[in-house]
Amino acid sequence: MSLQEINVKIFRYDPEADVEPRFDSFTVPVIKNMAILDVVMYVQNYVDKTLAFRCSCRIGMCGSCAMYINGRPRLACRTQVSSLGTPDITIMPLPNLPIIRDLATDMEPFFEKWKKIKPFYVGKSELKDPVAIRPDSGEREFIDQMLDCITCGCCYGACSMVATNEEYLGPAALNRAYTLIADKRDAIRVERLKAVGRSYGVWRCHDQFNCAEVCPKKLVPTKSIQQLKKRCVLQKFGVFK
Amino acid sequence: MLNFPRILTGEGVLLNAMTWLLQRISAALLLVVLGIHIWALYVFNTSEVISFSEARARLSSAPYVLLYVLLLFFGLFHAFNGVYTVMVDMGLKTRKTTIGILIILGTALFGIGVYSIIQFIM
Repeated sequence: MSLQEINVKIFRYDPEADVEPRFDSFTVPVIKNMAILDVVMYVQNYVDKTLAFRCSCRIGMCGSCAMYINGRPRLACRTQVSSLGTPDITIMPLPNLPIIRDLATDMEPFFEKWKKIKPFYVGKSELKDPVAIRPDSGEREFIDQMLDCITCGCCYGACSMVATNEEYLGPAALNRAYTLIADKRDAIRVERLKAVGRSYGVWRCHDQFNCAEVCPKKLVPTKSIQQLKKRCVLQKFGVFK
Repeated sequence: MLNFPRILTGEGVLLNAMTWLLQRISAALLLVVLGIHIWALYVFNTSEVISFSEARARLSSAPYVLLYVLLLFFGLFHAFNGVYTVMVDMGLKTRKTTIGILIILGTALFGIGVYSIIQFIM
C-alpha cells in the first residue's frame, strides 16, 4: 500500500494540568519505511513540541517506545506505518500503567513487580564457576527462548488479568522468574517459586495468550507461567526441590 | 467467624496450587461423567422421547445413582471454585468469608441434590 499522508490521532493528557484526556489529530507526510516512532517524532519536531513520549535505541532493543497503536501494544520503532494497512492511525499510551504525560507511561508498577521475583541469578555456593548447561539440553533450549525479554511492557499492557487485578505480577515478571527457576544452578529457586506461587502470582493467569500475541520478541510468557504452575504443584508434593 | 484450616484461607501457596490442580482434575472427571450421562441418554437409550418413567427407572439402579452424585459433586466443585477464582481475579479482599459462604452454599446444594436423587430409590 502506498500512502502520501496519514491521519494520526494522538492521545494527549497531562495529569497535572488537564481535567481529562483528549485526542489531537495531525496529518503527517509518509516517507519510505516510516515507523510509528518517526511519526511521533515528526509531530514533535514540526507540529507540536509539547508532545511527550519515550524512546531510546530505535532498533527494538531497549523496549522504551512501547505504545498502544491501532488497538494493540507495539514498539513504535518496530511498527512500520505501511504494516498497519490504513491511513488512519490512533496512538495511545500503554494500558495498565499510570500516565506521566501524553504517550509516556510510568513503568514503576511494572518494575516493582519485576523486583518481587528477584530477577537476578544467584549461584549455588557449592558450584565452581564456570558451570555450564549444555546448549542442546532441553532445559537450556526452553530457557533460551524466554531470555530475550526487553521489558518493554507490551505484554503487561495487553494482559486483561493485570487490567482487572492490579496486584497480579504480570507476564514479563513471571516469564523472567521462570528462566531463573528452570536453571538448576540457581540457589534461590524455591524462594522464587514461593514468590510466584502466591495468590497474585501465576494463579491469576488464565491462558488468554494476549501477552504472546503482542510480544515484539515473539516470546510466549503463558508457556513459562504454565511451567511455573506445574512446578508450584510439584513443590507442594515435594517433587520439586 | 468460622475457623478454617490455615491452608484454606487467604494467601496460602497450598490453597492456590490445590484449587488450580483440583479445578483441572474435576474438569477431567466431569468430562467422563458427563460423557457417560450423554451416552446413557442419547446412545444407550433408544426411545425417541426421554420420559419421566425411564429417568425414574434409570435412577433406581445404584451405578446411575453413583454417577449422578459424582456429576453433582464435580459440577458443584468446579462451578464454585471457578466463581471463587473469578472473584479473586477481580480483587476480592474478604477471602475467608467468601470461602466460608461458598462452602456452605455448595454443601447445601449438594445436600439438596443428593436428597432429590435418593428419592427415586426410596
